[in-house]
Amino acid sequence: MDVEAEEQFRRFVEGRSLALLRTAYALTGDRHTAEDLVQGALAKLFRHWRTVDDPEGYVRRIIYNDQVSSWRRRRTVREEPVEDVPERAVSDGSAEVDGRLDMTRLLSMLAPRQRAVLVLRYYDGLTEREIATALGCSIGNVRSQTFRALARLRTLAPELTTAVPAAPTIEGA
Amino acid sequence: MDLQELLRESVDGQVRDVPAGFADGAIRRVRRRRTRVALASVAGAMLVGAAAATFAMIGPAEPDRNDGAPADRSSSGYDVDLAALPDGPAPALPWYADGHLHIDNTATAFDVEFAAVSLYRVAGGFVVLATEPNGRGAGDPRARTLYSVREGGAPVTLASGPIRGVAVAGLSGQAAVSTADTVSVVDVATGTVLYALETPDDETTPVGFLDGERVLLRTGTGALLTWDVGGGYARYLEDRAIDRLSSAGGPAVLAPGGRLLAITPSATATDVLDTGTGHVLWSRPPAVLTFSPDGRYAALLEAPVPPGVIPSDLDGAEPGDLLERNGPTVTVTQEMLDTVAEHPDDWEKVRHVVIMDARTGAEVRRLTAENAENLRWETGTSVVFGAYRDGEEAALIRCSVDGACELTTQPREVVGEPGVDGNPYLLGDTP
Repeated sequence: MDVEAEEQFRRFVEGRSLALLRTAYALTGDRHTAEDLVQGALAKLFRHWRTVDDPEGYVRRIIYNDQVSSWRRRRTVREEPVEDVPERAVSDGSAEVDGRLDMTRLLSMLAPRQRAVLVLRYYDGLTEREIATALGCSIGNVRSQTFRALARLRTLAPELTTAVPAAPTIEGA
Repeated sequence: MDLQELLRESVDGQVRDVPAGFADGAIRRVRRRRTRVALASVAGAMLVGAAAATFAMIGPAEPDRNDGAPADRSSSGYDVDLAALPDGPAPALPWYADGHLHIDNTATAFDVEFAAVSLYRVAGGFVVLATEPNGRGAGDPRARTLYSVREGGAPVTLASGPIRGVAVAGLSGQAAVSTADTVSVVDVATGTVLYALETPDDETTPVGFLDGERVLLRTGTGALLTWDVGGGYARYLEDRAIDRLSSAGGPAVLAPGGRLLAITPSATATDVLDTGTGHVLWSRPPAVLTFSPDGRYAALLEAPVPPGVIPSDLDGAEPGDLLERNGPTVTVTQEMLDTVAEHPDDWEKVRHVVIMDARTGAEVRRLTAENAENLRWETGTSVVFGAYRDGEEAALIRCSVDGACELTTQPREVVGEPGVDGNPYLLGDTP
């Protein structure tokens, strides 16, 4: 890679890394895993820098894809969501800061795919079709996962009911 | 506050900054600086053992060249599986490892630090174009040095500074070298500049020697020129309307002997021309071709899944479907689908080594290998390239046109990013 291209890459990383890292953190729930996920995706981008027309779109799709691949690899060591939320994890609704902390913890208590559909839908703002493409599943599966994720959120934290949609938003509706 | 706002506040509050050196970390995963000093600093005793093992292997190699087993897709999912190939002789073309230039069973010390290197064979030695490890990128053309290295001798500097490109005529022992303002022909053995002329523009690079008296050049605007080394420039094949490269096109590659020329006039196709008639013999999607020494075959490395495409893009797709993305539209092929089906987690590592009839483009052989890199013709019927196993080991591989493959160096632990800078054995970049 020539100097100019490398400088362009560095500018891209400088400008977009925080947003990418936040998405990865939301997906993984772990700061170090998120950094590794993003840096791995950026390394792949660096290798193809001259041929990729939409760097951010490419990196995000690599992040999603690598995260899905990690779920597949972990299937042999089955990952189960926590069934019961410790009482201290539930907000008492007294302060927004508690709500923030609860959301991070609540996300970690969802199954990986449920967490992913929520993050992609409500954090990254993707459409159901885009989420299906990103996660390699059907739109119907996205809807069902979203429904279950929202239902579980309401179960885990009843006080968040007003913030959580009763049903997944239907695209185009 | 709705769910979207809660998520944003929660996640954004937890991740407020990016670790220092994040870009450097990503780049380090891809690139390692290959220096003698670095090699010496890493577990010296272990490295000595590794080097000894390598030299022991290339010394008494017994099998006949190109007598390897026909490639058969192994449990790795690749035709070329380092763990399953028989041993063969060392490559009969230049490669670099452990501070030495190698060819066959000879090793010549090359005590130079570099970030990138291109290697050429000339009678009795090597020509080496090294990019200095100046920290500004491996491809920085402003920090290059061209060396002549006789077998067993020390490197002699032929040129240094902003070298734009090099072409070497092995038989005559001459090198064409371009800088921003001058193109020269140098006698490699003596370092004497035989001819020099001002370049048409500051990005002119030599493509190759058409014969002993003419050098084919490509200008920064994509024009192909011949340089009569005793005189001036002329448009190449102007009377046959071949002058249609654009600056956006890919590199031009001249077959040994100058009878065939591969050009990439646009982002959509590479054409192979008969330089005698100027006719386009065949075309294919853009690729960097390399021609066999006798010009009978052409070969290339191909990624079956193009950059920018990931497996989830192909869910439910069929051959012929168009992938509409932000970048160029991609047509789905059966090879793409087969690759992601067979390699769902390492699709991007799959490379095809494709050998074709140089005059017709008819495919003669196609082999899959993990991160195959730096494809070179060794003889009229064999190629050598780098390949990996599980991203952990790498070696140089020889495959013949009939599909028989063998190890030409013993697999060793990778030292950088596989497919980019991870192979401890370097065949060198295309300049």
